[in-house]
Amino acid sequence: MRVLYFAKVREIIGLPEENIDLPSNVQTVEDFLDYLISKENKYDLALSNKEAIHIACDEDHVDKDFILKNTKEIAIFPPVTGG
Amino acid sequence: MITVKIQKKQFNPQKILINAEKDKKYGALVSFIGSVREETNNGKVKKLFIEHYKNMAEKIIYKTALNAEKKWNLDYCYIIHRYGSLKAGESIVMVITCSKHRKEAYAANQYIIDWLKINAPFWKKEIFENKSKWVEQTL
Repeated sequence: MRVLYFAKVREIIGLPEENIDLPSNVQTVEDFLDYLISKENKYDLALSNKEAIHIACDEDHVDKDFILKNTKEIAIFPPVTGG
Repeated sequence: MITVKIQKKQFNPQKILINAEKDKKYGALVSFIGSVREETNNGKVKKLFIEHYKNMAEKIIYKTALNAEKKWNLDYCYIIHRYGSLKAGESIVMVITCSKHRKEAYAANQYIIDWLKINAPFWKKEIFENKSKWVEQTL
């Protein structure tokens, strides 16, 4: 799965994007965030305040209980501030 | 007619407005421009950096314009938003909505900019003389 990071999340993780194979126990967005948080300190720093993290799957906003099964691209970012 | 543009380079709001006004079949035109402020609570802004998620931004803005067009029966809708590095005073976003009567054009314009602020994937970072800060969402 292609994983994209934006703004502050991108800066803390230190990458704009990466490819990550979904572990078999990861089903939802929430599971995926927990998986990343447990992976390395930088993910923990960037993502542990989950309330402040927004998610888009294949370019649509989704909630944390969204099932990732058919997702090709997930984007992880802080609340948007355009306009 | 809907036009959505997301671009790095500066745009000229007067030129865009003149183009929109050429087609006089509608009775009302409402225009909104959002610009880079010279000063915020954090100090004097040197530059504003805007990051975006290109494909999703285009998709969301177009969908929003389509909803507005249907809901308020718009004759014309033009949305332009910049990304990259902007200086104080430069325009960030412009929304033009046209309809037969002013009420619809006003309502649609506000709907589009409000929706864009909450949903379109852009992130602003204010660059000051000695520091920088990601802008936090204010609705």
